[in-house]
Order: sequence, then C-alpha cells, then structure tokens
Amino acid sequence: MSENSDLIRGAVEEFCQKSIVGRALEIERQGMDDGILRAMASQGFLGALFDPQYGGSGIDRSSFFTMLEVFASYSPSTAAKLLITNSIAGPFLLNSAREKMQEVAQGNLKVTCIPGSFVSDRVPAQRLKESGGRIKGELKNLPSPGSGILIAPISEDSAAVVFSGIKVLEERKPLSFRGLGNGDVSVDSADFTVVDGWKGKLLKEILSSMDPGVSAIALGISRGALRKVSEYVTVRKTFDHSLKDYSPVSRRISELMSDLEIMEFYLDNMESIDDDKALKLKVRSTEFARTATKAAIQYHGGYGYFEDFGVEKFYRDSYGLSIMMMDREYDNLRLSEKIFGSRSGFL
Amino acid sequence: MDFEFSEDINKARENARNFALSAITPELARKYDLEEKFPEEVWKKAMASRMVDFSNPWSMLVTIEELCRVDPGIGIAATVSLFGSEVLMLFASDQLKEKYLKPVQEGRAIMGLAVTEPGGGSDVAGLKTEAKLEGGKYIINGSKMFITNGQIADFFVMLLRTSRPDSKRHHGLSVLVVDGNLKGFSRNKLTGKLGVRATNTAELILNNVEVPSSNLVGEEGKGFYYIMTFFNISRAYVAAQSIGIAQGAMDHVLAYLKEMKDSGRESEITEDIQFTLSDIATRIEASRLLTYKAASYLFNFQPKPEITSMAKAYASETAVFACEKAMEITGESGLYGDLERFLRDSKIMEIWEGTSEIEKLVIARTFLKGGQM
Ligand SMILES: Cc1cc2nc3c(=O)[nH]c(=O)nc-3n(C[C@H](O)[C@H](O)[C@H](O)COP(=O)(O)OP(=O)(O)OC[C@H]3O[C@@H](n4cnc5c(N)ncnc54)[C@H](O)[C@@H]3O)c2cc1C
Repeated sequence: MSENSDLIRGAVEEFCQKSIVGRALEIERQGMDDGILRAMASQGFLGALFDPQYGGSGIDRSSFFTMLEVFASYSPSTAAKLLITNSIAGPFLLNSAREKMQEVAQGNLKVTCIPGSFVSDRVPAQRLKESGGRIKGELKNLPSPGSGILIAPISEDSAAVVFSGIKVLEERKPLSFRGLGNGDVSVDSADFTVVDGWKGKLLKEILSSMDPGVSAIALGISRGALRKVSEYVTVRKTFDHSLKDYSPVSRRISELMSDLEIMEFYLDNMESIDDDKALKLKVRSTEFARTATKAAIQYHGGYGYFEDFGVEKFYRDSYGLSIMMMDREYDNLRLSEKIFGSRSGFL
Repeated sequence: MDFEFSEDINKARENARNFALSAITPELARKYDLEEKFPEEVWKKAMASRMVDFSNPWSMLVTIEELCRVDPGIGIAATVSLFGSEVLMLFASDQLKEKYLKPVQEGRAIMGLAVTEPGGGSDVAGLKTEAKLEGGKYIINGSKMFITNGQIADFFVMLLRTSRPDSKRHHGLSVLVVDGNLKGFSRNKLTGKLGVRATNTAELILNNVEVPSSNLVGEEGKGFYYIMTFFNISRAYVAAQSIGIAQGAMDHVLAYLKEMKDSGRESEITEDIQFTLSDIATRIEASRLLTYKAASYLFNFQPKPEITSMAKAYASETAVFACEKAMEITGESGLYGDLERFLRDSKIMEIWEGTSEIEKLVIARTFLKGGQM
C-alpha cells in the first residue's frame, strides 16, 4: 500500500465517521442530498481522479481504490457515486466538456449514466437517438436520475454527453444503491457533445479503473458487513453464551474475514497488478460480497432483517454492484481470453 | 409409495393458483411492498374463498406454496391471520376455542403468536417476560419482539414465564391468550424490513397487563412443550412458503429465457445458464419431497421433528438459492423487475420459526441421541 493510500484511508475514515456514519440510514431512505455531495466535494473526494487543472484532486489510483473501499464500508451508495463520477464520467468529460469538470468536482453539477452501458464492448441495451441536431429518447432505470449531465450511448460506438433537456418521468425505490435513487428519464436536447469511437481507448481507460473500483466497493461492502457482524456476535448471547463462542459462527466469520483480507491485500497492491489480475479480483470479490453480506444478515437473526441495523443494505447492494456496474458475460469473455488465449465458453 | 396427491389436494392447489393469479397482481404486490402495509382486501378475499383452512393441512400446504409462488409478501399475509392457531386447536379448552379460535377461522379476527423477545428468539427457554398469578389473574410484564400481525392482531398466543425454572431452563413456561386491547399493552409497528413487507410486524410491550387465569392454554408449566409442538407443525408451512418462493423465482427465470428465445437470442442460453436452471429445479423437487415427507408424518400424528427441521432448513436455503441464481441469470431484468422482491422476501425463510442453525442443531441432536434414519 502506498503512503498516500494510508493517508487517504485515515482522511476518509475521519470524514465518514463525521459525515456519513450518522446519516447512512437517511441516505438509504431519502437518497444522498446535495449537502452530503458538497461535503464529499469539499474534501476533494468527488473529483478525486480528475486532473487538478480541471478542479480535481488528482490522487493516485491506489488511493482512489482505498477511498472507495472505506466509503463502501459505511454507505455503498456514496462509493457508487464516486465510482461513476470518477471512472466513467471523468474520462468522458475530459474528452468532451473539460469546462464542466470543476463544477462536477465541486458537487454543483451532477452527472450520471447507466454504468453497465460503459463497461463492455457489447451492444448497450438502451440508447438515445441523434437526429436533426438533437438528442432524443428515453432511458429506464437510470441511477441519480435528477442529474444535470447525462452520458448515454447513441450508437454502437458513440455516446452523447447531454447537458440539458433531461426530464425525470418516474422515480422508484431500487433494490440497490438506494442513496443514488433510480428512475426513468426522457431526453430532448440540442445541448450535447458526441464522443465517437469510445469503445477503443476510452473503454480501456474506463475498465482500468472500473475493474479495481468495483472490487474496492465489493470489498468495502464485505468489510462493512463483516465489521458489523463481528461486533454483533461478540455482544449477542444465546443459550447463555456469546454467539462468537459457537464453532460454526466463529469459524465462518473467521474464514470470511481471512478471504476478505487476502483480497484486500491484492487490492492494496493494485498499482503493481496488471489489468488481468484486476479483472480476476473483480470477479472473485463481487461474488464474495454476496456471500459475506448474506452471512452477516443471518448471524444478526431477526435484527439483520431490519434496515435500522444497517446490514441488509450491504446484501442488497452486493447484487446491484455485480449487475449494474459490470457485465458478467463480457467479463467471462475477457477472462477466458486471458486463460485460453482466445474467447471461449460461447458456442 | 405413491408420489401423487389425491384429487382434492390437486384441486386445492389449482384453486390457490387461480386465486393468486387473479387477486395478487404485480401492481398490488409492488404497492404493498412499497407501502409496507397489510393487504387487508386480499386477506379478506382469501378468507371468504375458504381456501385458508388449517384444519385441512394438506390443502393448506399446497395453498401456501401457490400463494407465495405469485407473491411471498401478500401470500404470507393472506394466510398468516391464523398464525399460532394450532396451539389453540391442540391444547386449548373448548371455551377458549369458541371465544378465540372460531373468529379467526371464520376470518372475523386476526391472531398472532408471541414467543421471541428482544433478548432472544432462538433460545426460547431463555425468555424473560413474566406472568404472575395473583387473585385469579395473571399480571404480565415484559416485551415481545418481531411479532407478525403484532399491530393488527385481536389477540396473541403468548409464551410467558410463570415460575422460575428448576434445573431445566424450559420448565416454568406457560401459554396464555392475551387480548390486544388490554390496559398496559402497547404495540409499536416495526418498519424498514428487507422483505415480506406486506406482513405486519411489531414489538409488544406489556406493563402490568392483567389476563384472566381462564386464558391459560392447557396446563401451567407446559408452555415450552406446546410451542415446540407448534413449531414442528409451522416449520412445515415455512418450508411450503419457501418452496413457493423458489418456484416463483424459477417462473421468473423461465419467462426471461422464453423472452430470450422469442427474440432470437436462444444461442445466449448457454449451458452455464441451463445447468443453473437445472440446479434450481432439482433443489425445488428435493425440497418438495422432504417437506411432503415431513408433512406426512406430522399430519398422521407421528411427527418426526428432525425430518421437519431438514425440510425447513433445506427448503428455506433453496428459496434463497433459487432467488440468488435467478438474479444472476436475469441481470438487469431481475434487478429492476418483480424478482428482486422475491430475493428480499426469501431471506426471512432462513431466520423465522427456527433459524437454519437451530434446525441443524435439532437434526444433529436427534442422531446424537441415537435417532436412526
Ligand atoms: C419479519 C419477522 C417476523 C417474525 N415473526 C415472529 C412471530 O410472529 N412470533 C415470534 O415469536 N417471533 C417472530 N420472529 C422472530 C424470529 O422467529 C426470530 O428472529 C428468530 O427465531 C431468531 O431469533 P433472534 O432474532 O433473536 O436471533 P438470535 O437467536 O439472537 O440468533 C442470532 C444468530 O445466531 C445464531 N445462533 C443462535 N444460537 C446458535 C447456536 N447455538 N449455534 C449456532 N448459531 C446460533 C442464529 O441462528 C442466528 O443466526 C419474526 C422475525 C422477523 C424478522
């Protein structure tokens, strides 16, 4: 782990204790308000990877992943916001609207997209249309639907960055990342820029930070859930004994903690790890998050089933993470390519 | 060995399926889930249809399956107004049956079963809420936690400590019927559940609540035995809820795969997906066999608690397994559709009425004490 990462971990921990922990439940129930976003911005977290000349903090990648992990361990929604802003919106804005980056980094202008559309070279499920100098269409299930900037595919290989004319049609309560909100939008705008050929260099750049970024959130989610359950099984007694004294409980949590720490070690050394290994970590860590968070609910008994205890959100978010933020089929293709030398497993 | 149900049970299944498909629309299921509200209209319809009849346990088992298959939250809410009624059926006096059991059977009242306390649910014998007999009345002090129908029930079948335990912790416990409107009895609705949000859950607080001694069910001091007998029955119904959920998740997968096929994407239904589907189907079938075997012992008055526990633990884990795998297969369609509700609902199966860990202890102890397969 770099010295910077250590420093960042301390700073983010302090920030989360002060500004997130007490509001984590409210974030789940009502969404992240502008105050939280601005507080994150004021510490330089929102534009963490943006170049300082465009209002960002320009921190190193390793520190960024550390930051995501810590945020996710308290409120996965905040981490998802940071990931989308830095790892998808950042590269797009740098290519299309550098002048807006400062405002985004300051939390004055929100930017969103359907992350799954930008993490693979497969045909995106939803896209907008460009015709007659306007971008039009509807998108369903968009996180942070009330944002001022929207990035959306308009053809197989081009995307539009839209700056106005985004109307929220319907909002709903999603399974995962409730702090971001979710809704359908309609778009009709002449105020946009087109980024052509993004599936080349830009996709590579996005993946180089999305793969470890998703892993960081998966490990943060797991850490948050396992931290809670380790504390709980120490204080909760059944049949006159602490839960931690029952062998299946103790063994299971110890095993999960060990797996977590092995993967955290891998993540902490991400600077020296190549893209292949980042992909492998993502596949393993997202699956692990689902297992670890389920165990955390279980050992909380009935209390785990209620949002007040702050565990069930980790389980819900572990699903959104592996469905919204990655394309499993594409990742399997990439993995098979690394292992067999050509894309395998698809007849 | 005959694996087929009789005609009348098949008919009960078909009725329940038709009822569920017409009365529990996806819109309604979404609404009650979002609002976290008891679906009174569906419950009333279900009671009026006479399909909720716990005196006909086989029909009830398949009815629960079919209702939960369409929507677990409403499916459970529609049948749970009689939760705990077997305790009255098996152990209560005729007067108590007439006064309390009849109205719930006729759909005129709702009951609840209150065992769990804030300090513990698994350790039933460790409960602390006391009922002291004084001048022909029991005076109750304490609290109960996570009680289904807690806020809406007319009365509760409640397990209480009536005397200090001797060398055995489970001695000194008794069951009382406690009306919900008594002085000193308050109930706080618990909100923010992960799933089964159409069911009502509350904390009950009892502060010097007076209950006539005639409300004692059976004999004083036998409460633990009565409740364990009840759990042994109700766990078969939880297994049925779980099978319904798993089957519902599989229905979602099949609908999704059909859509893929119909839109010319059949080649994307990889062997990987097919193997997962076959795992779901196999586990559902195995859960059914175990549950029906457990039910068969139970309903013939020869219960085998270890088989019931196997059925409950296995079927509940199958419900979660099926939902998780269904989410993986269906991706965004599952995440933003009705399937995600099944995932949230399924998790309670491994917790209530005996967590999976407690079921495993029941199973292991039977064999350690010399039980045979
Ligand atoms: C929505 C909902 C509705 C409910 N409805 C009712 C109701 O109507 N009536 C009612 O009485 N109760 C009800 N319950 C309570 C439910 O039955 C309990 O939550 C359950 O029995 C577990 O008890 P607990 O929550 O106290 O967990 P605990 O008993 O504290 O257990 C916590 C964890 O420790 C594990 N554990 C405990 N002991 C051991 C051991 N010896 N070895 C290994 N692991 C162990 C458990 O399996 C669990 O994973 C409801 C709960 C919920 C969430």
